[in-house]
Amino acid sequence: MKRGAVLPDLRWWHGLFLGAGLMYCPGVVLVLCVLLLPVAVLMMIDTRADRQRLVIILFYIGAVMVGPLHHVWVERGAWFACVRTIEDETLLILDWCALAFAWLVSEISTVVARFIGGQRIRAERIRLEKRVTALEEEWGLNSHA
Amino acid sequence: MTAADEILIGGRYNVRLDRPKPPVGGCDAYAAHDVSVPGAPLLALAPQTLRARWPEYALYRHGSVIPFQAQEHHDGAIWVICSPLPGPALSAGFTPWPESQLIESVIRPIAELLMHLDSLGMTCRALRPDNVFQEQGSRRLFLGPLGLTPPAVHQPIVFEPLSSAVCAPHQRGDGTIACDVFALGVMILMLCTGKVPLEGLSDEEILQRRFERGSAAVYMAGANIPVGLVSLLQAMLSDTPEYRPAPKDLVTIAPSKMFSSRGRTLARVPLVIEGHQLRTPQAVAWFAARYSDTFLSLLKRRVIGKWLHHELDLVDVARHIERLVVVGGVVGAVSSKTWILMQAVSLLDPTAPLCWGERWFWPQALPQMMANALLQEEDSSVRQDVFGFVGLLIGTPDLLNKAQLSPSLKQPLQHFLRLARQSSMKGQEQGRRIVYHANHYQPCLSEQCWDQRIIQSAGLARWLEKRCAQQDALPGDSLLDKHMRSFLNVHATLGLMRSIVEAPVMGRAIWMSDLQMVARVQQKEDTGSLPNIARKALPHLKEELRAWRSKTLREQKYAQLEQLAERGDLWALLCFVQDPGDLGRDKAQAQDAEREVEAIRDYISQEAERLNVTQQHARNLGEFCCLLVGIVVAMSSIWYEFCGH
Repeated sequence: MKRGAVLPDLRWWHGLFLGAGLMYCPGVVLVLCVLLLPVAVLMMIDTRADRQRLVIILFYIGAVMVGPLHHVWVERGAWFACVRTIEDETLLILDWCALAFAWLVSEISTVVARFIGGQRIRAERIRLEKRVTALEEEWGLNSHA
Repeated sequence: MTAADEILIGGRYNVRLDRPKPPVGGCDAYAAHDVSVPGAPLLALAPQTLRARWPEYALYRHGSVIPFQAQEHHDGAIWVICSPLPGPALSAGFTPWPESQLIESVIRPIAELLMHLDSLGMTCRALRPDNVFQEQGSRRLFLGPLGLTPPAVHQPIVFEPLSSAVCAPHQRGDGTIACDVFALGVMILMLCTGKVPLEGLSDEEILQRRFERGSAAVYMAGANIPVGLVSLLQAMLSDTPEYRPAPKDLVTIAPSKMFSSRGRTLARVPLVIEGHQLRTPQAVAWFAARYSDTFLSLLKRRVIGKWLHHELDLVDVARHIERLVVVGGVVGAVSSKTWILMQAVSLLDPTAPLCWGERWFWPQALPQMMANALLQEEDSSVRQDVFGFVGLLIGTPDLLNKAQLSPSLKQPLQHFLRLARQSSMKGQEQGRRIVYHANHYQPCLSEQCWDQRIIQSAGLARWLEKRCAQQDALPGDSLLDKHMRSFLNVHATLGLMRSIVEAPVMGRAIWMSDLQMVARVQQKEDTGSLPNIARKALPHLKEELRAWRSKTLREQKYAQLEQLAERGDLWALLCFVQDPGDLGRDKAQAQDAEREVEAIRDYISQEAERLNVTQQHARNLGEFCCLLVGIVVAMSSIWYEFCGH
């Protein structure tokens, strides 16, 4: 996938598969489309989103999707069951929240990692500066202050 | 009586400084006694300056000289212990002696002494009433110990022949045995007449009369002298040294022995200088120096030459003296007046001392004169004259070759030049060193320790130690002054030591070089530990330790230095302070430290980049965490969906 593209680079056989899916199990395709909508939105909004991030987000979305898909499987892809599933607000909210949660986890861990790294650098600098002062004191080096 | 008034010399002789005796032969004298023989009184003499040939005089023994029992060093000063005086000095009073007595107990023994001295190449130069002692109850005379003063320093002008009477006391030099014969003659004259000739006249008057009429004539005029002694005295008191009898002629003297006294050749027509009628070339020489301008104008008008030629038949002298004015031939910065006068005097009287400007002196006495001049004020005329002459002589050796001087002046001058070349120094330092080179028994001339009569370098070190114990700061803020430095340097070379420090530098380095000198003295000679000097030097040594760059090492070294200073071993101190190996290590470590600081600074300056890298890392880490959490959430969701119910 080209980086920065708003839409995925679609080919003719994508349409073939979509048509086949719509033909044989339209309910499942409907559920998938609705549940994967946040990913599509994200791809359109976040121009920097790469494949790695999409994969990560897919895990979260996937976690939400386990329940409905299982339900659809149990109902054997019945249209009404599918429509009922996507009419469930809790599911939709959860689906969107998964995206937000993914973002939150990513940001928080980044911030924490950055803080720890900064802390480490600061500690090292303080240690080195102490060493410099000690050396200058000991050997009477004129500081470059 | 306190301990300070009593000193023990050589572990044997106890000197009572609180009981001074009248001076003997120009030296301070104190009562003393032998510790092992407490009953016998002795006399301790404290000579200020010994003669250069002191070892020979110290070994010399003669029946007519008061012998001394021991010479010992105490705190670097020499003490001479001799038996007590046999009786009062002649200057204390005496009755006239008859002729036979004089011959028996004065002329023969003392002539024998002089003959003996002459055979050893020595002179006495101390025949004068206050140095001749008469044994109580008998008519025997004893001379004070020889060699305890510079030659002829204390001789009254009456007892000196004209050739040295014209010189100031310190400028008389060793002289010859003929000078002693003259002094003996005056002594005999004094003993038979009962008084010193020409008593009560000023030195200038005495000289003037002697030059105008001859010493013998002036001394013997109107005196009641035994007939048998007249010819003897006339010969002995002759103004020409060759005319005086030799000591060996006097030893064999018998009553009424006749001596041929060759009269002086007198000019028929006197030469008149400033109203003085002069009949001999000697007199002209002396008055020439006194009235130099008049003399030079006479010389230029050729009056002198003609007078010498016609009246005295001194054709050669007349020719040479005429040529002086014509040739001139001034060397260096000598004024032509001084130059011509010096040579003219030497031509007129070959037995006269050197006449330089206003001053008469024998070249042998130059080191003694320099020592004397160094004790004077910096700007005294003596000092300027003496050092002016010495500087000129050393600076232009050509001077000697060009000058027409008698051999008795030239040879000692050449000897002096050889002496001067012994040290590689130049200028004032060279002058100071010549003094010590010429006389190894010359006390250190520094005005701080002149009273201490220090002639040994170990003694000087101990004296410094004592002085450093006092709280007051050292003058000039240095351990040694220039005289002490020259003294130590010369004494170091005498002991075949390598000369210590040749070129002193200013400031702290002076202290270091001084310390080095004293340390070397301490090392070579037995001075004991010198903790006071070490303590005084401590601040300067600490300065020296600044060369170490490590602060903690310095602190350690300060502590060690203080401990070492307490032990008072200066050489160890110097080695400790100047340790090149340790200093090199320290320097290498300092360079390492510098490099390390540099590296750390470089590292710190790249902090922004590293911060960027960390942020990138943090983002990756965040994504990774996010992925992990996602996987966990997905797995737990699956587990919940299929197994949770």
